[in-house]
Amino acid sequence: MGVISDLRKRWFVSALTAGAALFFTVALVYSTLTYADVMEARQGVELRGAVEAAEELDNGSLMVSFSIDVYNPSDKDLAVHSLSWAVRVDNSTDDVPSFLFVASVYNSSSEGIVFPAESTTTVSYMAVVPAGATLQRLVDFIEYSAAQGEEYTLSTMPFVHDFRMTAFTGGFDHDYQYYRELYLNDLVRVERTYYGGEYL
Amino acid sequence: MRVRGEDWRRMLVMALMSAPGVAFVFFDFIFPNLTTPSLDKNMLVLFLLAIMFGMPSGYLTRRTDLAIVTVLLYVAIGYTIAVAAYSAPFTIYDFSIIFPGLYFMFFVNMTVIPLLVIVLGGFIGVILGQVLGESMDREETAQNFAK
Repeated sequence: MGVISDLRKRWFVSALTAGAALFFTVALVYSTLTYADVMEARQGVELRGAVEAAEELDNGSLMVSFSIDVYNPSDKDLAVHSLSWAVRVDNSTDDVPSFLFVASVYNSSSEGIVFPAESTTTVSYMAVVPAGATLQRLVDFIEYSAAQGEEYTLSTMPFVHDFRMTAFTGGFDHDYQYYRELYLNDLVRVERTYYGGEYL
Repeated sequence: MRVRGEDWRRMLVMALMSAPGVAFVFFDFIFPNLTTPSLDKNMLVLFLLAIMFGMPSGYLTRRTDLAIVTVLLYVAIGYTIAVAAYSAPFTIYDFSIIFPGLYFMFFVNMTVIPLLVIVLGGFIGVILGQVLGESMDREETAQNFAK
């Protein structure tokens, strides 16, 4: 075939071209697999098995705790951008929501938290509310509820746990320069929420 | 001028050798944070690569019209491969996601400028490749006469 003999005759350029084709083929396949892993993380990361607890301590303080599993099935680590946990007491009377603050925790990216690939990591929080203004508001709530016919104790109050996670898959977040590049961070950002007993 | 069967075969072989590079550049342009290595949307590097992709077509094809058709052919094949790579994860998880029009429109919207640059760079590369080929032929002939 004339084409092959021509390529043989000009072997140097032909070999360079074939080498470049091979290089770009490998790069494309590798990058596509990375893209598939990122999309797998986007769809597959789940929050599971939330456990909420509240306990009245002997000294009269209130201890609230929360734990939840972060399931990461992808081949890439999740670099945490932020984790937040807030626990409040539902004080809503009508359609307008109202809450009494109990405790909150915030973890930022500077703490370097990573959820490893193909693993389940348990995130646990615990907070003690000592005697003070916060606890007094809760005690007032219990007393007022009792007057309205609702019996609560410090450990059986209507707590609402709010856990939010934002992470970047594989640390692929992009230092964008233009608004048109925002989609690059949207692509690799994983956001999950657990709120009031529901996984959102 | 007629295009013979061998010309088509030559164009196809050249197009298949240049297409992976073009496909990677398009894919890299839309996901520069995921690709290895990445051009980081650097248009100058993209233009230089586009010239490089066009040079083998000019070097190995003497007829300029066929070399230019080869450029169009490898850009078309490369673009198709890039769209396939762009759709790859969704063919595994949820095929229906790739059908909405905006999904492909986003790809076209993001890659229309590199598309023009790669075609233009390819044409320039063809001319450079032909100049290089003729220069090497002249040198070879001169050396043969010198013997």
